[in-house]
Amino acid sequence: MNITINPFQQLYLSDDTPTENSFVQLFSSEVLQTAIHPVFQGNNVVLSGPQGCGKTMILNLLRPEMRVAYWDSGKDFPVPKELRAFISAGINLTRSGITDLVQVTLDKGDDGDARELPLYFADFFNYLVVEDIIQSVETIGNRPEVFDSIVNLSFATQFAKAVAAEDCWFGALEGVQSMEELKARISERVGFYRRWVNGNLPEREPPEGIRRSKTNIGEPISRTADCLRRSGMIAVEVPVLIRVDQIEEMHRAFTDRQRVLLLSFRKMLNRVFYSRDARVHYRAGTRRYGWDNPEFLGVWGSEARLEIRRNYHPIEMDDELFVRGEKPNTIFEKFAVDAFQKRIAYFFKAESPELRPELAKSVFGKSPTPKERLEQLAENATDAQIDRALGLDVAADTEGWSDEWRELVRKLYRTGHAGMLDAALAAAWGRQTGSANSKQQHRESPPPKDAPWKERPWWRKERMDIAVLQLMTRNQQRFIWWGYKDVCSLSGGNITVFLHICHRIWDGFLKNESSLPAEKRTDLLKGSAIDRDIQAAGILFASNEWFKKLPEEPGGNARQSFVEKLGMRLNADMMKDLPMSYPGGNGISVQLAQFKSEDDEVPLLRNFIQEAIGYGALFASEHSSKSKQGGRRMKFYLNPILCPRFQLPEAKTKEPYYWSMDELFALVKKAQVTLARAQRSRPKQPEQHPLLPGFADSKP
Amino acid sequence: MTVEELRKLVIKWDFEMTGDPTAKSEYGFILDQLDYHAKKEWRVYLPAEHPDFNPSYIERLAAWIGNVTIEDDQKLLLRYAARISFFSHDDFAALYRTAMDREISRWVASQIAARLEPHGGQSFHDLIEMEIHQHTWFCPITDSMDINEFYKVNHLKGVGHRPGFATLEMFATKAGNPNLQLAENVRHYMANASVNQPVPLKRIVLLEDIVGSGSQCLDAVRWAVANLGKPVLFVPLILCPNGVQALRGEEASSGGLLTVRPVIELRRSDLLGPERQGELGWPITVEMEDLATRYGGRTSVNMETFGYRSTGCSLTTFSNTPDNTLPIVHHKPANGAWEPLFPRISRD
Repeated sequence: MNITINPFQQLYLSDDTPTENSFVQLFSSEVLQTAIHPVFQGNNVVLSGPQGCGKTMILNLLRPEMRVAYWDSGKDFPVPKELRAFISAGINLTRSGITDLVQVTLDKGDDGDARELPLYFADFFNYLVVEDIIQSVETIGNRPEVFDSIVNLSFATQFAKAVAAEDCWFGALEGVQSMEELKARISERVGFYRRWVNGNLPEREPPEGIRRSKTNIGEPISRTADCLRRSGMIAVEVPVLIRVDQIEEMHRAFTDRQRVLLLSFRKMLNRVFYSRDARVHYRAGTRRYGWDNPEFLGVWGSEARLEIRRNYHPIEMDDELFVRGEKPNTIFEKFAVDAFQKRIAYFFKAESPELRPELAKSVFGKSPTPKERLEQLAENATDAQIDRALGLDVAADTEGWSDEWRELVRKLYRTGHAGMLDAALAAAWGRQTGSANSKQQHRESPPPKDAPWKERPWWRKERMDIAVLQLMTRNQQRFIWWGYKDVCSLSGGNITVFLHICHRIWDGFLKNESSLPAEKRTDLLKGSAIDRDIQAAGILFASNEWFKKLPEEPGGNARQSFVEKLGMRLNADMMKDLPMSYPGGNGISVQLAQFKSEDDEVPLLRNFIQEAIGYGALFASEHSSKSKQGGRRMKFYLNPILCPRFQLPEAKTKEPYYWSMDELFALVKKAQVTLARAQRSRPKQPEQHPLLPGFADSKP
Repeated sequence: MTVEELRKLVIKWDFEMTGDPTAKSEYGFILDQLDYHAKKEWRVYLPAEHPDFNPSYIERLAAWIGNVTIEDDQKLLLRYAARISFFSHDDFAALYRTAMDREISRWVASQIAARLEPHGGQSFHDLIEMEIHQHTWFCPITDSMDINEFYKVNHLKGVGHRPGFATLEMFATKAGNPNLQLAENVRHYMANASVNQPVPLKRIVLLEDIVGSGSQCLDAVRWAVANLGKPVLFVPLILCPNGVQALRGEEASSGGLLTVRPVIELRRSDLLGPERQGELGWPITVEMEDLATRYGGRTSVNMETFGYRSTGCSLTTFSNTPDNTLPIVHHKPANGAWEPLFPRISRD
């Protein structure tokens, strides 16, 4: 097996795919569940999810070049047949450079820029999208065998004339008589904007011709779609789908001026979603924080806000596909196995054309049972070592143990690794009282003849992870992870995290292999597994890398500091929980009503926490309180990939710690996080123009 | 110790619970960083190309850490390995360019009292360039300094001879009877240096790659200043703190003929041993000094624990490791009791 290639070296294929061919080889269709189908149908759709969950890869399937690549490679296009008849065009807000408009000024002061630059944004957007529509239509029309002839290019001239005749262009396309002329005129306008944002124009303000022909956002796009149908280029029922990717980039501002302008651009863009125009449908790809905040949902020129399900259909990939919870996530597991398989096939196809199925499972092997996690621990332990391992030497605890109890747990401990678990659980049971009303701990009575810590399966199962954590830590060892299930669990339903873990494990594997003679090497393609210590080290490394990445995003330093404090606090609490009363103590929960309160600084704290969720540092979900009177609560956990660093079991077995809002505030303060409205403040609003005057209403 | 053993050891260390509840993969990150450099800039270390040594940095690292058996010392050596500064061939090219653009150009400009306004029709830049290329003589102190590369990188030409001044000084003063004629010959050469154009060399720039205490270069510098009657700029590319004082003193007593301008000046806090003079160093400084002291005898009883003149450097270059660097880094004793990380080839 080739030991120079790491098939997971490149994590973000969609952002940097050299050719569509690579996409075809590597894209896993497991992610195309029914929940995703609306992307290929009518209505506006917002596809949201954390970094690296696969949003852009799904939106890429809308591109005609991808479908051509599938055809040319002989592979079946993964979108269901009944959903393939569409025209798609779009822009990536980062790569198109459209957000660079924040760099220009009209020399009319900040108010003037705030008032007029969004109008230029709208115009630039229209021309970019129309340019892409034309290109897409030509790509589709030139390959009728691929697209079932849904485009008829023989009507191109009629189409071009029809588009140019529309009044939405304010004369900018006057005189256009052919497709070539149309393309040239559109391209010229786009070229102007590109020169402008790059500071290549001698004048600050655009020339008069452009100033006087700025278009209303979305309308030229809709008219173009209309002209496609009226001219006969496409059938009336063929939907036109417009992709807008990386909307969250509109909220990465480094100055107040940029923040104000980008928010205005965002509100301008929201108009296309708000209009619910039946002629075109928009698809947005965004990280959750880039969409969720109510202040981002305003619509330019009005007091309206986008409304979920009325103006757009949301698909939250985490919730729809990759639900993280107590149950195994079969969709994500299939996705991960398939993505892994495709990567191996792509990079090793020359040496192994026929791969074993589900290679990820054989490469990583089985994940350990709790007993197996303890196998690093030495079995011959002295009384003092056992007492330390079980926390019997803790000052506040040591007096409560009779000789009988000590003898029992030490004897259990010495029976082996399974016995160590039994001893830890026995000691925890001994410290418990059995009910909330009782104050007498079990250890105040002689040890029972039966073994309640073994005979209550759910009680025992819930406490396995905390028992392992306490045993390992007190034996001066780290809780470690390995095996396929652990890798999936730590991925937290995010394919990029999964691939990152794979990358680090594979990297460790290659480095180890390179120091071995050929006859001692491992052939993973033939079913061998990577050594568990190499896996565990790779997972720990990936966890720390993910933690170190947190400051890369805006506000990331504060989030990292908060995550650090929370992680350390949860670990400390789990270690101190000798009775194992809170086996679910790898998370926290607050009352939902208090979390949603508008009192004092709660909105600021809430915003900070929601940003942490949006950026993938925390996971959150609502739950019911364990008491009937408790009402609804909100629970928060660290992203599972962060758990190895902070030595927290990632599984969510029981109730998390119940915190008050004061405790949450205290932790935020300890992390030295300044809760500010800066990212969320309602900017000083310039006088907004309503719809451009003299603009005709949309035609059916 | 083999590389495989080292990797296993690093994994074991990261799996151990230290006082920090957070599992930071500290040693894994260090080894990952060293792995990266080993494949890139540190791939070429000339002395290790010889069959007596291993050209693979990672394999030398494993053997070096394997010199000690106490795990805490092994961990410390790994952490120290990440602190050793390696100056690659590309780094030296950058140092040559920086020396020319910064130290030398400014000195020449000050020597000719150049001003930004046009001078006799020539621009300020052209004047400096002319003075550098036609009237300035660039020579090394010793052959450690690759003067040919310095000329090539900076596109210097015109002066075909660039003798090492330490050699000249040695022949003039230490090889038999004092030879005053040698200095006279050099002055004559400077007056008529170029074959193509009879333009004199008006000034000298002496360069050296690494200067520790200055003891090896001071004689040569003094000889040049005293005997050639021309202004001298001495440019140590890397200068250690214990050489600073000696060179500043020499500069002060030269009557304005000598200027010393290092490109990189190390700080005392980067040294180990007595020359650190108590300045706050790295987090592992005190532990490393202790380790060096404990194992110093293994490397060689005849060597100073902290290198020549106890300078205490932790640096190496692609072409060799200076003797100012700790012997535990570079020395291989004849009895094989210690495997070096960056083996040094001694001059003598």
